[in-house]
Amino acid sequence: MSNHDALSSGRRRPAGLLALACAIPILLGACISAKQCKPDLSLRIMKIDANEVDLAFRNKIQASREVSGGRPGFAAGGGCGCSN
Amino acid sequence: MFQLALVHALALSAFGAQDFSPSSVHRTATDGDRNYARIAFNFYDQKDHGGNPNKNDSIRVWEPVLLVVPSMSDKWTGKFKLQGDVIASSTVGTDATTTASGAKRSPLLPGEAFFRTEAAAFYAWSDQLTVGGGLIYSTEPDYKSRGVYLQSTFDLPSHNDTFLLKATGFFDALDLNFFDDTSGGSDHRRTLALGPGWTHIFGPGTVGMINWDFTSQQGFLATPINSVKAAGTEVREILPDSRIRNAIHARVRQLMSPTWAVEPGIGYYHDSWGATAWNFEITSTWEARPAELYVEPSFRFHTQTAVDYFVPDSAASIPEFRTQDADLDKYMSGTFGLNFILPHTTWTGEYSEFNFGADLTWRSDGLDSFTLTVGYMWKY
Repeated sequence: MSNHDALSSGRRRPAGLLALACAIPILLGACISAKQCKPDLSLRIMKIDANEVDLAFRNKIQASREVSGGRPGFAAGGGCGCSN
Repeated sequence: MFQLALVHALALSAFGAQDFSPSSVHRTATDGDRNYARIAFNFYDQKDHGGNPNKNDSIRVWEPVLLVVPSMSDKWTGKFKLQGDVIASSTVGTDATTTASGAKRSPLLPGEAFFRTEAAAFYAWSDQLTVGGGLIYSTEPDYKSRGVYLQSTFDLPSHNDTFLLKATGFFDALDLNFFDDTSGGSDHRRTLALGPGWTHIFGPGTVGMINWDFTSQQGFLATPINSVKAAGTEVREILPDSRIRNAIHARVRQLMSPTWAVEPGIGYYHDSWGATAWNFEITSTWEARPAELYVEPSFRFHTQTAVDYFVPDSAASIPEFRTQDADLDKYMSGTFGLNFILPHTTWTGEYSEFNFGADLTWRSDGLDSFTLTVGYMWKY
């Protein structure tokens, strides 16, 4: 069993309720110890923009079709012969 | 350690670079530090059901992409990327470059292609500091671009905060082929951008990030093939030779359960041409089958004002600076997306991943579009 399986299996429903209970005070700015909520920041579902190729494709579309220049972190210009 | 790796990954992801950070490659519960390659085929289709009545905005594009990220040593990571955009079709039934009988023009022709290459290297100076940079070259008909970027990430000792800085320059050359089949020789476009960012871990299940992009552009900033038709005449699009752009974007990723995360975000943009834009987006990632299937629905709302130089068809006179580019006009759009990720399945293998998805965009001016993406990643 992988680490991921170990993190996921056998406690999905109670852990889900616990995480949900933790999420509300977190959003409200409360401080919660790591022991109360498991350190699941390493989970894949917590990765932002995990696929660079997909991210670049979305950026190119937004950069060429919107006035706002694309995704954060991408400079305008660089191969688009348009006024965006 | 997980927090350190996550901060690196999230911070670099703000610059589209999370996959090649020496300290962040595949720091998930199931992935190890392995070299990898991605191949993808993307498709974009936009229908011309509105927008500029004098221009054909219908277009279909195929985009093959190859990305290779090798770990060259404990400290060095490389990145090599090849990308092509092939115009599958850009108009229906007419020669896109003619204007006879009022046929709409299209700036691109079927078979034309855009190519882009990128090579980069990143060095892990310490467990807190990463530096790197890359070179980009891209070419398409009438347009060539040379780009360079440098970036650095720095973790505070607590590893709960990462600061990022990316500087980018594009130095582009254009052949000026105008709508009326005349040529204006060649010109240039220079883009300089600075992108600071901050990522902060609020708690065991909450990560936030904020990015600011400052961009300065100089040179020929109009689209040569575009025209403006009003007051009984048709003239070239002319826009100022400088543009200052500011964009700020913030988002928070919240773990709702061990198998479900939600990421809302908000963005604001303003530039010296008078355009303002807002966007709101939310992405949800659900682990539908443990380590085998992830489902990612998303929604993005975008609204923008027109640039000051936008000229309506009904204008009585032609101003010095003018455009009728529908993408520089006022409009709203909504994009619905659905992506599927299949890692470690029996048929893709332990060290590979398959993903596919689609986006559907509705625009208030009728220029609706959709995209399809298919990708495969191989860790070696």
